[in-house]
Amino acid sequence: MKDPLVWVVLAILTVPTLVTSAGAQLSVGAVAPADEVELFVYAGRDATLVRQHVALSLVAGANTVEFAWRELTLDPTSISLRVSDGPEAVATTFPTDRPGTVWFSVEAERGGVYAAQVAYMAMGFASATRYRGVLSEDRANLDLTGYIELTNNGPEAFANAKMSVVAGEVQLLSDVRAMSERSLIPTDAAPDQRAQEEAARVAAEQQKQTAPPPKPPNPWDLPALGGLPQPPQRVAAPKLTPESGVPEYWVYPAEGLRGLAPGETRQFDFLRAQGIPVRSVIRFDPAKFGDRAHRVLILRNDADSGLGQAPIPPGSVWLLEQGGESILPVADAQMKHAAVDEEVEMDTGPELRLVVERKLSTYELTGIETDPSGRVSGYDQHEEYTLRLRNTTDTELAVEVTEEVQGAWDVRTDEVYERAKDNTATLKLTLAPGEEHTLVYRIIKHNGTRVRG
Amino acid sequence: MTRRAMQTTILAALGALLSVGFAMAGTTVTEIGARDGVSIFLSDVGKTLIEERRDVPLQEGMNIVSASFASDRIDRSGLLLSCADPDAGLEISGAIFPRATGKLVQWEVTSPRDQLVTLRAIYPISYVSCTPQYEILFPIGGPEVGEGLPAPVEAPGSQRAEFSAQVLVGNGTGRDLPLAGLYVAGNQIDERAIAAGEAVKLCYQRVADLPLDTSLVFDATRYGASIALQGTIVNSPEVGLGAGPLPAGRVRTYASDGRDSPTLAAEDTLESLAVGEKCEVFLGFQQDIRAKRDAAPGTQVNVRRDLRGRSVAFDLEEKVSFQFASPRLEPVSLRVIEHIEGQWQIVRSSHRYAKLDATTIEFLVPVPPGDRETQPTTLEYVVRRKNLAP
Repeated sequence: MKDPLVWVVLAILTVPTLVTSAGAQLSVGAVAPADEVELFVYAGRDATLVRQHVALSLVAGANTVEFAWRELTLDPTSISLRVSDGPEAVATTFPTDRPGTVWFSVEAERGGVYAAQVAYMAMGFASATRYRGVLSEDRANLDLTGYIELTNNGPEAFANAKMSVVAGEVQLLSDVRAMSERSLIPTDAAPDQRAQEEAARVAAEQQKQTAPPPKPPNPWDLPALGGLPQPPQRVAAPKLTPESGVPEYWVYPAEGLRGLAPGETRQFDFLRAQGIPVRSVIRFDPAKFGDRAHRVLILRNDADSGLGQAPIPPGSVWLLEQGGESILPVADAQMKHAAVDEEVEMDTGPELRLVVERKLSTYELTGIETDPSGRVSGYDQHEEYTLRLRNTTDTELAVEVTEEVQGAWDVRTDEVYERAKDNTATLKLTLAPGEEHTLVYRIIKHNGTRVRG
Repeated sequence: MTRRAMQTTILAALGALLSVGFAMAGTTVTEIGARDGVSIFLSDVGKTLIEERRDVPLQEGMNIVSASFASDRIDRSGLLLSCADPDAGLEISGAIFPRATGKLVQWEVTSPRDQLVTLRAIYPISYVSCTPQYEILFPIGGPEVGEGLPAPVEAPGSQRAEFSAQVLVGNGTGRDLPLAGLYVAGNQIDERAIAAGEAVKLCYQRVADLPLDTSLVFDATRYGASIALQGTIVNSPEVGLGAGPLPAGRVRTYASDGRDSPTLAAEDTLESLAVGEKCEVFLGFQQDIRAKRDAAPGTQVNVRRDLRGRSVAFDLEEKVSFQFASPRLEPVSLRVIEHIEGQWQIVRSSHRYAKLDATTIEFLVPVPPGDRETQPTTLEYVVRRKNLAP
């Protein structure tokens, strides 16, 4: 620019800088340093919303505000300027000959100093959500500490910045690095990416329309007769989207944390709850856990548990147990996302103190049917299991036995069971200390014409 | 926070794995004494946990407690500093790692008064292995039976052997583990230091005279054409075990070679064994007893055909026969185990059998004493495998 303009550098961060100039008349010296910097680190993504609060000195009429950066990796298309109390950024220009620079054209009716806010998405901060849980000796209560580990992998210190972590469902179409490298104008080397994206969208749409509809179950598609049944194949379930379609996310402020030096990592607590009541269920689910029963801890994210103020974000859990004066390791587990008033489960690994012996005691094929040509058209496959359970602990155990079966099936048993999701049957029982119990149940899988009964 | 109370405490503790601390410019540095104690909680399924305790003098206000890692095998995200005395009224911040790749960790500890407190640091560490294993040692002086291979026992029945449960602890952290109490399943099994690269085998349970019910087994699927000696281990207090579940691990059986030292007779895997439960382990082959299994080609029966005369389903009758001969002076009883898949029915058999589950049957076959010239004992059965597809 050749205009005899006065450039005033805002002392915000060392690299991204704001400069104002007046288009028609000079705007002199009324620019104050940044009042505040806020960083919102998106959990699990290398994306941070940086929000800088500054005071802008503007003259009446047209102003140009320059924002420049050098070492930061940021998404230039995300840079925005908002000025309070009237002035409006009417245009944003990325000058050809000034990489790492953006000019905002700001119209102000009156000259003066205005509060403004510059925001952009940058890279360089990483966060990880972790939990540490200490179980009481009877394993009935859990002291849970949730903490977020924030690391500054970028070149900037962001001293005195207020820091928060955003967790939840926030859809980011591209990562910041891709956006930082993206050309803002179409070139031969980098064709118009919007056109590319549109072409990809159209192609995907066409593929959807031409793809055959999902194949319905074919009752005549019979497996070979005889031999042992193959273990069930896991089928990927379609991913469900939230009914509301509105992304949900939560912001966890890092209290007391004021910036991070380059390379520095700090942990801060976002959750600290004592004596959370937990239920312990021993699950035997061969399709999920193989031939060992697993102990699953269940807690409820509600007020009665001393929680319930916000959803619990997913993260790794290091479970410990109070054993006298020492703390003993129990398991590494994973905490899934838990909405308010919902239960969340943590698999703490095999429970060796529940003896489980599962035997296929009977296998037979019955009800073999033929079609008019004499070919086998259907049959029932009977699998009778005998499950011996023995509680070797000195406490009562809640046990759930789950069988996963694909296709059309029935269960015959004297036990009470719950059928869920059309492919699982769950038997629930409670075992007293030292108690032994034998479950017998028969799974009948209907094949071919037998599916219709 | 008072100005005077800003101090840095060098927590050179966390010692096995954390090296000597450092001084921060412009702050008071308090050197602290030797660690009060280190405990290492070994686990064969999860991470190894280390707990260190150290007396630390704190000043009123904020103190910075620092330590540095000596090993990069520490899972630093699991580092936890706590105070053993809840009445100390300390406020301890989350861990601070000043440099991402550095080995320094700090905590801001706010104390309501000048006091000496015991701080406890716990952290998980990888590359410390803990592998359970077991040894069964039969008494020296047993007879040598067969063709030069050791025989653990003369005949099946109730035998007694020395049993020991061990863990093999390997230190792959690259740093020495200091003198520490070593714990398995919450019980201290030893106190020792383990040098970098060192592995130590520690016995945590020994039963000098463990009763083992042994049996001779012919299971072609598992052992091929050889006769196996199996022993039943019961994890119960009545036999000197039963203190807790026996974790899964390798079992080595040592037996007399008829001379002066035991030799390895067999290896097997012990699945985890809860208290009060029993399991069978392989103790070695008994190659003096000869065994032979023959399965004749099956015959299709009950063939079902479609309108074009093509077979669509059938049953298959198979005849399986065995021959056994023992040179021993006493009769032996063999457990003959067969695995039959699918839907089946035993049509006839020369011996009684027990159905163990849908795919397993077991015959008990007495084999009389004799030598190689004696007529072998024969077992036969005919099985009909039903509803097979062509």
